[in-house]
Amino acid sequence: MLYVLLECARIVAVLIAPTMPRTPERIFAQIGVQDDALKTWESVKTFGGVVPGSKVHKGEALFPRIDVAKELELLEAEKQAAAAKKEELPAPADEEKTVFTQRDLCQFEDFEKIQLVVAKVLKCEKVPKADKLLMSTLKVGDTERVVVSGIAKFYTPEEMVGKKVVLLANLAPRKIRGIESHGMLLCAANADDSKLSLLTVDSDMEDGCEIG
Amino acid sequence: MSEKPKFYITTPIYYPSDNLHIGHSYCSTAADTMARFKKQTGYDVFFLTGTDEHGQKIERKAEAAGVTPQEYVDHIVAGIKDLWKLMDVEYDDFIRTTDERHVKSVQRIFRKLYDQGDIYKSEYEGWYCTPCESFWTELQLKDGCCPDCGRPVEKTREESYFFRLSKYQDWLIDYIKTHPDFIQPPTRTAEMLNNFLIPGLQDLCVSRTSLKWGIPVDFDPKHTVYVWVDALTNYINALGYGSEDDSLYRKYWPADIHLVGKEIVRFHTIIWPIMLHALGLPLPKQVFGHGWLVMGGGKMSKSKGNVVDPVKLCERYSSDAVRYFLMREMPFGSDGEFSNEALINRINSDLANDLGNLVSRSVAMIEVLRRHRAATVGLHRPRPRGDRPGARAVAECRKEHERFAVLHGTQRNLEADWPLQQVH
Repeated sequence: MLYVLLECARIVAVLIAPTMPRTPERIFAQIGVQDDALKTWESVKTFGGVVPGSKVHKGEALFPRIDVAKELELLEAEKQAAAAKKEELPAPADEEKTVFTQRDLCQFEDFEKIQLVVAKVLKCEKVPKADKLLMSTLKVGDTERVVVSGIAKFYTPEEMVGKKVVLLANLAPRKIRGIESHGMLLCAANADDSKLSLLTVDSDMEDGCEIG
Repeated sequence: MSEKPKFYITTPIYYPSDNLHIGHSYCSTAADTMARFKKQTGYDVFFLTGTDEHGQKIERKAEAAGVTPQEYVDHIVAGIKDLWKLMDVEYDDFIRTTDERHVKSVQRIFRKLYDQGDIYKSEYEGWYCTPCESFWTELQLKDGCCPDCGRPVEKTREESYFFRLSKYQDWLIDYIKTHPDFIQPPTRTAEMLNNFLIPGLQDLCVSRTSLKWGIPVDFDPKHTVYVWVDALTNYINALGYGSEDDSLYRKYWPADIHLVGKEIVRFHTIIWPIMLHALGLPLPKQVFGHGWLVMGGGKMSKSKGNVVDPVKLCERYSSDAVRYFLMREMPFGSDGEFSNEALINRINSDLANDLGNLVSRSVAMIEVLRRHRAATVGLHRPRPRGDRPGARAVAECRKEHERFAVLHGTQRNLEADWPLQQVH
């Protein structure tokens, strides 16, 4: 059984070599494979390459486990530090053209899954302790619902009230900062999110009207 | 000894207007993985990469940085070569479109196509902004004015050279239909036929008089060769096509795979084959359009600012871990999402838990139970038997590798390797 394990490790090391060129040698060192002939594609055609009696050497972990939460926190902090540094620099004078690249085609049936409707903002307030989020209460025909949107840098709650907006109505509910958000307001935004504008309808339409 | 079969693989030549991002690393890692797999399985491999260094955007970037375009690209290219070294991308040649060998070859090809009538001089109708000395097409105008300065433009005609794409359209449709493996994945074949070829091709403008940072047309030097002939021919120029020593060309052309991003499949499956055919050269066996590495829904792009720096990732997690993630996470040919979380989870679950533990625990047990020996008394090399779980899994795994030999060692192969580690 132990032999089978070592032999499997040898074969895996050979098979992953094209993708991970450095790891195989580290594995061979630990499982005691020295002969180059045991590191080839040919050599994995037969099971039983590891030489019985070869000496194993426990080495350091091939890939140390990473503490996910800690690591993500660290990366986020680095990103913010980098962003803060960037803000100090003057904005580039020469604006590049907006690059539009079309994504893969979708079929009409795919589009039909999406339910877009006109909604009217009845109430709106800031989400506490979140400087980007607004919580809006919307009227959609004879129903009401709450939607959280990351638009607080562009709209005040007062401005929002009374607006006719476009709502993605059948998006699965998501909890954002503890508030369940039932849908999403459609906006246009530029690449770095420095400009943003809500979608609305050209002439006055009743809330609840479907868009398609 | 019998001669090894050859395998010629290329990446696109990247545009060095800025440092490369993880999206470029994805393409180069995939090409490198295929090249290594082919080498491992006995092929004589030639792996080409490089940079496409001309054009207005680089000219402007250099001007903004206060250096010459050549100085600007030299600096970026040095960084690209460092990146490939860091990521173990082992190419056989790196072609730069500013290399003399490339410039000479582009001029020869342009002249040949002109001499035989496939390139002709005509007029290109467009809009001219006098203060900017720039030509614009109808589509480029912003509210009917110059997109650069906003001033009014005049309708004008620019003398240009055109390549007769239209003449070869029917031939290409027929070629694509009779060579179903030419464009991969197959969905892109239908896209090319239905969106571009069947509606009809127009002749292509292949020179500009407004462009200074480029290769001059040697028999009419106020014209500069535009990107099509300049960039696409790199794949044969690097092999010495048409030069005094074309031994590499004779050995390796046609390419076995041009690996490209899906946004440039069109140039590689319409313009490039027609150019080759007009030159009387064989076509590459396959153009494979890989998907995009997206971040939060959009393609990673230098001008969007949503890029991930591969140097940082490799320094932090090791190049093998990053390469593994890129090859494992994305179904080859489709788009895949990049996030730090996905990367870390892959490292933990596949590399630390599965692979790392297989090795470390096996070794640890042997150290304790067998005094560091793989097999001593009572533990022998098992006789090869088809029904042994290890042997069976290995055979299946190898078969998978061969089945996906077109994609040489990428996502599906790695997927196939992993159960092997759970055989006990």
